Amino acid sequence: MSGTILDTLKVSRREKANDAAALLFPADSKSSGLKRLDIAISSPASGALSGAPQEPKEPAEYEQYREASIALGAGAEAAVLVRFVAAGAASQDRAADEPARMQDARLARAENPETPGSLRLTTSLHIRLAAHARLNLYVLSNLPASFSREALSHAALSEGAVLTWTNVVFDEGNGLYTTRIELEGEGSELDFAGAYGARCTTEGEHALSIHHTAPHSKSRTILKSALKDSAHLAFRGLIHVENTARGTDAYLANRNLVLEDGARAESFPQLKIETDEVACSHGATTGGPRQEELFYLMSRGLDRAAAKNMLVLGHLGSVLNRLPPDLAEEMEDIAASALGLNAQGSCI
Amino acid sequence: MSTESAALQPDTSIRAIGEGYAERFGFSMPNRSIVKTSQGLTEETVRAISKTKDEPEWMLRFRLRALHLFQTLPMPTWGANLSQLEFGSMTYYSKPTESAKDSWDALPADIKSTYERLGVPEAERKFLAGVGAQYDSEMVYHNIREDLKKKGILFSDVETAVREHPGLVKRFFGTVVPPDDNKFAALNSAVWSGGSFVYVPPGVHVDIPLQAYFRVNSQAFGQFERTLIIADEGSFVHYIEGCTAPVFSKDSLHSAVVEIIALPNSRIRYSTVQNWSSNMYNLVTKRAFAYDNAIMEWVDGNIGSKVTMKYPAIFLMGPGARGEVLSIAFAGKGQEQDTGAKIFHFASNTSSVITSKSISKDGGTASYRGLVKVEAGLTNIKSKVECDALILDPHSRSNTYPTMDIRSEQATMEHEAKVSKISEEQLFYLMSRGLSEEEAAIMIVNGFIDPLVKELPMEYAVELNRLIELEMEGSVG
Repeated sequence: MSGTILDTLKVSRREKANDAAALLFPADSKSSGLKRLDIAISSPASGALSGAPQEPKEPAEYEQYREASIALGAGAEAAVLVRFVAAGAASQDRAADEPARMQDARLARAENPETPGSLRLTTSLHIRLAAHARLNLYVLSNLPASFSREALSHAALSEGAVLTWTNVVFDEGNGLYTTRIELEGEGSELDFAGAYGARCTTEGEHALSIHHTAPHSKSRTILKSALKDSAHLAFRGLIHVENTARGTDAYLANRNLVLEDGARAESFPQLKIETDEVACSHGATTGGPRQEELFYLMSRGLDRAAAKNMLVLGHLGSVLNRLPPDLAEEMEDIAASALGLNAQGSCI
Repeated sequence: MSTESAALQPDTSIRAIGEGYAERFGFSMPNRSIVKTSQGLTEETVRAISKTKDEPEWMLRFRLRALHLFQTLPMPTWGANLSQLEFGSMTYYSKPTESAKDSWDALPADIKSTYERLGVPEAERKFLAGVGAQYDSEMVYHNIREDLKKKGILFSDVETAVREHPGLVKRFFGTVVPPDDNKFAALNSAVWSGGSFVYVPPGVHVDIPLQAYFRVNSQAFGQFERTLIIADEGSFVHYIEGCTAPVFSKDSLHSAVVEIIALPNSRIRYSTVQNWSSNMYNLVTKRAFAYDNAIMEWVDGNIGSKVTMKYPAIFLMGPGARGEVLSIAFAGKGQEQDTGAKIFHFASNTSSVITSKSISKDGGTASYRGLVKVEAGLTNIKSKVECDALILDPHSRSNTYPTMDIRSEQATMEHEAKVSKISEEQLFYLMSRGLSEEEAAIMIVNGFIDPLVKELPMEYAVELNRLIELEMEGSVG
């Protein structure tokens, strides 16, 4: 399985890469402030589709591949914001964007029946931390519904390296998100928190695997989701502790909020433990908004929808609040529009 | 668990397990079967079994259809390694006696002495309401207390039920686990023999348990019992099964199908203490339907066998139904215990609890594999899954593969799993109170499995504790 992901990355890079970005922090550098790495995605509205939508085109023309890598030398410290931005689309303002978005989706569907309503986008992100490097990473993405996305992320941590990763995804199209993190240095540490929100018929699959191959490494991994309408999440989580990784301390959690009948959360959190000196656990919870909480908020004067929305933001809040304050606020707004919390957005 | 002692440990513990099992359960009797099919499985085998049993036409057709399914369905691509399983060199039917008896003295000496060594008649006198004993392919003994018989409780082998209560059997047989469910359910449906049929009339409570004891005596043999339990409205029954086999060099197969129907307001508890010998593949399909306000409980202890794949399932079919699965697996040297539970919520106001405990040592692999599914549109669903695993040495493995599929807004689903070794602090504490390291470890393990043991009748709890102690002997020193 591991081989497959890495092989895919290599093949993709060689054959398809049409854009790449890299950030390198030399050994012992202490970078101050937040480094931004914006990854621009051509928007279908301003790009390929706007030309002559009547003419049949090869699906390949609509494929995009974006790659980014971040490397920290030994002892380096940095904070990085990686953002996937659809050029030309002001996706925060979903209400205004709605008719155009629907138009895009319809066009794309007509063009490419195999992947209905979507353009194919592959992104890959590589992270390497040398010994004792520390990286605080924020990865944000809220692409319009016209993209169906495959996101590959890979991180490797050397001895004593610490990776704190906040991953926020409100892509409106379908997505397959594969993240593999390898704790291959003794005493390395991972703290990963992900938030995912989806509505309408969006399908998102998040495969998150944490591999401990060195002694005394530690990982904390959580994915929180909120699902509306008929959105469908499949979470595949894995903690794999190899025989060489004695003293591993690992926890994997998945918390799903199913906001409506018809929305669906599938959760497969797995443990594969091959040695004894470990403390490994996982937890998964899935449920609707708690009736007592809804009742409490409604008794304070909120209507049912507003109370529900507040609970959604509260649920995702523990992840969003890891972002710097201005970004956290922005992502809350994006969450609200991506989940159709403000307006009763209709699904196509 | 210092490294010096780890070096000593496999040797002593293997001896302990081997000696203990061989003396208590691992013996075999000369094979004196009166009807035996030849090795391998063909349509002739199936027809021969059906003919011996003098079955109605519909059952033969059921078997032949299942045989076809068995031949076409694929082997599972997941779970334990089954590549060494040889369907062709196995014996599928071996009949030890002419008919089931209701007195131990009426049994042939070999068989009677087998069950006496296993302590079954003694247990019956002491604390059971009824006992069935299966030897290879057939139930050789079936008896139930007179007073329970008078209340209308039916307890017999399935063949007798097919003859005497065709209406009941036809209505439920193969409805909970259809032959096309999986390859091993198909295999069982084609060559099934023996097993218990239990029917409890409305409102009747069977306060003390019914028991079935499954014994395999032949080598390279397949035992395919089929159990059907029906609890009518408002009734209660506790059914226990135990199983052992001689230690042979050739592998045997035990592939049972257990179908349970808990009608409205009834409660069924099904307890298993599985202690097959280390040459046994134990591939079992167990499933229960629980209707309105019914309670279904599986208590499942897996200690023996080479490979076990067993996931007792509960379908919560009516509002207010409740399902509970409590399981423990012990994987020692060369053992693979792939166990778990499945719960399907098909009605509102239903709840379920799965508690799974596993212990792996001496290179054994224990896996939890489970599923909880909640359909859309249901309200007030609660489910809780808890898996704890202990790993006793660095060569053993523990895997957890839960699946949760929730489509309802008004559901609460929780899952927690933990894998760890015996804590040094607990060991140290107990040793400071004067226990040896081994005694301390056994005490911790017994504490770990306590929730399961508590749910078993006392005699079984003692038995399970003894088995665990036997398996643990010399493991920590």
